[in-house]
Amino acid sequence: MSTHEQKSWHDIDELEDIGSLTFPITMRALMIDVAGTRDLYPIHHDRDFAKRNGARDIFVNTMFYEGLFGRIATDWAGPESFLRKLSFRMQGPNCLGDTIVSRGWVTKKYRQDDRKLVDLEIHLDNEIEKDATVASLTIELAM
Amino acid sequence: MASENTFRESIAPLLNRWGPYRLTRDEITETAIRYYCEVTEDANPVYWDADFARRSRFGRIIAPPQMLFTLTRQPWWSPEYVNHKTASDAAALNPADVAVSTPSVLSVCEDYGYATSTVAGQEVEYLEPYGPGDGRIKIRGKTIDVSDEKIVRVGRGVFLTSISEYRTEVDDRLIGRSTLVLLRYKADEG
Repeated sequence: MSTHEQKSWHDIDELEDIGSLTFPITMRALMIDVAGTRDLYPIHHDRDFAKRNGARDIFVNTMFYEGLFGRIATDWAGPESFLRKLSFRMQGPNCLGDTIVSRGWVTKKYRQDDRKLVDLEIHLDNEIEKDATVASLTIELAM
Repeated sequence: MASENTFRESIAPLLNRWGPYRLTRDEITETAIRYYCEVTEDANPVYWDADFARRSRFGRIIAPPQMLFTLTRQPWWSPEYVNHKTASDAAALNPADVAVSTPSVLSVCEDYGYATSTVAGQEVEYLEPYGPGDGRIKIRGKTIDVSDEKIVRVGRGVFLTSISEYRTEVDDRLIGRSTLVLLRYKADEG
């Protein structure tokens, strides 16, 4: 991101690959998640609580996914792109010790209300589970 | 035990009615934005770099749009007098007939035994950029649909669809709208 390159809507193709991001879920990452998203629900920081409640281990929260999907989108489209819509399914957790690897591509390119839009689909996999989290996004391009 | 018909009859008058606004305790700040960006190591300069942001099409530092839920979470602790101030500021935003407390949709669900909840789906639309200078955030919600009782994997339940709106305190701009589908269920016994 050092150059802050801005992608042009005209240069984007449907089905274009948006690249991959790797994010290790360390204890430090989970602590920063609690602090930065203000989420004290114990399933995200108390390993005994998480395991008593049927989870493999503590795992990242909903707001982490919101942040990660938003980051992946603007890292790809440029800092002046703007997230317009986000929805995602949490099909399996991303736990302490897992490494998240993302895959994503453009599903649609269109104009609406004078806006230059693209829809993206982003999947998060980890060592245990493929498609642990699956998101649909709409991004408005700046140019 | 109450029948399904009476549950729907109890819920019907509560549908499609906006609840009162609540207000966040804190204004949107650059510091909160930076703490949030640390979580996913988001380096976007429109969140970090005032000079870059000023020259951008946003004209100023903005919050990551997807930060809306983080910004509107309940604080971990506040002195009582601060809670009173936040509540009375919110009450001033609400007409008297809305501020009157009515039985909430969720409390009716609990009365009928649908006591456990899980998020079945959610979509958020970000309608306008927002950031430091916009003050606190106003939130209101309404339930728009309740399903018939369904057999689900965990028991028997109803799906509630609700909409929340998010507005800036300064200039009352609509910045976000979320649609939530919540499953409220009675867990199978044994």
